[in-house]
Amino acid sequence: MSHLHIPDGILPLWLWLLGYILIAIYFIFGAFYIKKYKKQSKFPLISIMAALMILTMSIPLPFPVPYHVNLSVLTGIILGPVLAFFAVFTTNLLLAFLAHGGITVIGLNTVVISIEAALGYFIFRFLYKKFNKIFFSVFIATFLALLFSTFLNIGIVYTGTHNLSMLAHHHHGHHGEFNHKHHQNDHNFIEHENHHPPLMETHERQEGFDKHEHEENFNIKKFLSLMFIFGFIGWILESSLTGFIVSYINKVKPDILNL
Amino acid sequence: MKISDLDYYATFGNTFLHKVPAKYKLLDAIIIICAIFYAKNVYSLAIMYFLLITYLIFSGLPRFKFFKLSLYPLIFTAMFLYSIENLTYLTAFKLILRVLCFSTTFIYLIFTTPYIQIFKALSGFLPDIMVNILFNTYRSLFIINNTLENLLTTIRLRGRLRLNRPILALKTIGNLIGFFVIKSIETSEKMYDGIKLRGYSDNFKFLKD
Repeated sequence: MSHLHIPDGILPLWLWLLGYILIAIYFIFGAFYIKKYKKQSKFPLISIMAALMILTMSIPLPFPVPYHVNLSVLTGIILGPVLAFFAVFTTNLLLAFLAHGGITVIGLNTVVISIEAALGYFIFRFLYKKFNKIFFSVFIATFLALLFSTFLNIGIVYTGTHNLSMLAHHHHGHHGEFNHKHHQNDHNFIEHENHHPPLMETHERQEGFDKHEHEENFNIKKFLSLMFIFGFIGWILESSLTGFIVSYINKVKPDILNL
Repeated sequence: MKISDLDYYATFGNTFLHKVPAKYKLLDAIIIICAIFYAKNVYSLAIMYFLLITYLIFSGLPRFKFFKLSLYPLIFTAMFLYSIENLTYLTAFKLILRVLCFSTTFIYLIFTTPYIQIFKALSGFLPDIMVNILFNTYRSLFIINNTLENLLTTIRLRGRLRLNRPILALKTIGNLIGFFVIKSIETSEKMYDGIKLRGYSDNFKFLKD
């Protein structure tokens, strides 16, 4: 609901490799944390939270748009920011095999959703300490975490695809050639300003300008607006649901929340 | 599609791909990923996708479910393509074919290989902690799935959720998931006690083929 499941084949190699490097670093830190604080007994809880994240996706929501629950912030609240990462990674790995997200982008998706879980945890703790209102604190924490993770996701997509020629032509060939010619034209224009008829130059420059104008461009504003239209309904739904879930847990078994 | 259904196809299926060891299928998937990345034109991608789909037709796998699942990534791709200015048919086809080749490859893998076999093959690369969590998650998925099925049946029996009262519907789902979370956490505690009694020492061991 909150996050995009970026599929394989859209982001460039360097970006998804960076995602894997980031989670590898986090693995080392997480393993050190688990060993130091003897958190091995939490493995079944991490696994259950991962299983919950996967299974609750199949709960139908009574809304016309096909949203599904994500529960990453709830995972963050229950497991804490460090252990939530392992649950998020497991969920992403299992879902990637179902074409829900991609295998190559597991690293990046994990980074985004782990940040979402950690941010949700910290905002919730801060707000609950200050206002002592459970539903309000969870609602705001989830909403802000989802908003931030959506921006992060859009940022990742933009970083990987703003140079669309890489994606469209796969190699620098055509685009590079065009740019080279274009720069050469500019260079010639300055160097031989007096040797060419001005009309010819204007025509060549106009042609270059037209080509540039008809080039494929990733329009981040269009993407942002699309994400915000669909995302906003999702954020409200997920925030309210997480609020109701945590309120229920707080009433029935508050020790789960460690408040 | 539910993971339990997928696991059923992967475990009890009897196609040629089911008989190939998981590590070779993973290797094959890596080769296909490399081929997709280095495919320079739309034709090579189209041929690749055509071959993948042709195999699906004759493989004996559930064609409709397989195909439907492989189309899921197109939701994001459609949003992405919509955001491209001056989009040409060539780029659109290329991107769609790349995404479909990737998704189809991995759905072949998951339709013909049980998760356990994949985890086993991945255990060589992943840290012990992760292998532990993956095996536990797989186990948990099937244990708590029954609880969820029962809860969903209860909701249906009580007259479903209605669109005309969205807040009440959300609160009901929230309470349902809240109950499900509590039940699942209790199950995880019992599960941990159970496996500890049977000699679990924070490390999973499995038989080699």
